[in-house]
Amino acid sequence: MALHEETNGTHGAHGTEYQREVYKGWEIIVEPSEHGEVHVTIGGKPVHIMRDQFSGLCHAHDLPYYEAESVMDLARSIVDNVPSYRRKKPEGEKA
Amino acid sequence: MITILRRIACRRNVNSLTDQQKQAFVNAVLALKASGGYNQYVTTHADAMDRPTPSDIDPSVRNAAHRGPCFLPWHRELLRRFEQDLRNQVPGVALPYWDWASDQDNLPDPKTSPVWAGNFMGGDGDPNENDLVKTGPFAFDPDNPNAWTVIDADGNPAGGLRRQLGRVAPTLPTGAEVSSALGRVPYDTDPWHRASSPSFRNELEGWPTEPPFEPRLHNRVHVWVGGDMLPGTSPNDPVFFLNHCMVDKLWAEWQTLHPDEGYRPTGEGPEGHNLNDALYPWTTRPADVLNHRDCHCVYDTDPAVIILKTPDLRFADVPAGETAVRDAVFEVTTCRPVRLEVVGGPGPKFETVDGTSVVVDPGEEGVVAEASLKLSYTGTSAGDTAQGSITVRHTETGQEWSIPITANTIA
Repeated sequence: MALHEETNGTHGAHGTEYQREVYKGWEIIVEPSEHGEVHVTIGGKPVHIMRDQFSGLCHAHDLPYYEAESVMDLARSIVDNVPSYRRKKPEGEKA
Repeated sequence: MITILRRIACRRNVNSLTDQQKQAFVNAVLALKASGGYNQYVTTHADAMDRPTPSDIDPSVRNAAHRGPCFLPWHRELLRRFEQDLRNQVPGVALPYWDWASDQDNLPDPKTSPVWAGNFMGGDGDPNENDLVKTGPFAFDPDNPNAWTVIDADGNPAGGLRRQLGRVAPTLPTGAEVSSALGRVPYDTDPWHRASSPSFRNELEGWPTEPPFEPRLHNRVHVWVGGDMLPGTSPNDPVFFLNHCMVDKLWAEWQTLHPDEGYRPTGEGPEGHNLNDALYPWTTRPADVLNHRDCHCVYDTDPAVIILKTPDLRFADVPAGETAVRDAVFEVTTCRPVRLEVVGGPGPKFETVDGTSVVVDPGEEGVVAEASLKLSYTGTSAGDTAQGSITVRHTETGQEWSIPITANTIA
């Protein structure tokens, strides 16, 4: 399995652009939504990312001290650093 | 005469710890981990981080322990509880503080700090093996079932400890940043969150409100260490407590520097962050922990606190020919020796007993002790009265107290 596998595309139903990347076995999907927010899923599980008014993007629980410049950077950091992602193997992989 | 009222933790700079003191701290941490008690600090921290305050906002704005005024008292209470648990495992042990700004300013490479030595926190993670720590007492060892492991926010085992020293953020905070924060007032300000300015709390927590928008001070230390110091489960790395001990010491210094600047908000802020709100998940309030000495600890840089308990001495109705003894009593809170000396008085009718000085020597711990200087008066003739005074000096600082003495004799 490659460390990275990147895809960009468009949802037919919504017409919105999305980014898909498989990072360390975890599928990350980043999708814009209304009001400049982004919807992010890691391994199919929604991850709430907030756009900080000053410096960038943050996740209050998974990366509370760290603000990333891009959503994909933040999602990768979550996979890298949050114990629950390190503990579990992505679905479909052998433990 | 010295009476030890209670022993308290003396929190020292990591760089001044003896090898024995380092070993005692490590042993206490390992014993607490083995007992199952350590992991509650990881989950308590992660849980508080997930709890928005108030409950209808995004926790990224403010949570029960971060991004708001209670950041400092919440972590002071966490340290108090953790330190007490350590002392239950190894009596006499205390949390040390890691002066990361000194390492940044004075070491060519902060990774060579004694903090990261094999006999203390252990070293960096191995970038070729998923940043796993492989040296020191918290190293990953798949063949050792008792080796240090981290947990996720739900308490499930999640492998070995990871660090990325200097790889996520290249530098630690500097002394100049510390000085800037120590000069900032008030304690905190509306809107009481990550954007508060001016705010000592927000600056020390490390949220910039003007460019460059990089993590600073407390936040930057988390990011510089990286690995398991990055998520809400950051107490998985014992260096978490050394960082927060330094943060707490800086709060104590700020309180000394700005005695007229109290904790804010006193009642006008968000729930969970006001002076008399309970700090989740405890019943402790910020008001309960404003003085770190009330948390049974002192810092090695703290001046001794000396309180005169006997503002005057009275020898009332002493029978003629009999001798009465009174104590001039001081309550001393210190983790370094304190010498109190009679430098004036007591006057012709009174005498000092058992010498003119007393020394409180706390040894390796801090103490709250009563130090007594004894004075006597011998009754003369019925109806006689006498007055005098003693002046007592704290040798190390020159602080003085003058204590009036009165006496009268009866038949």
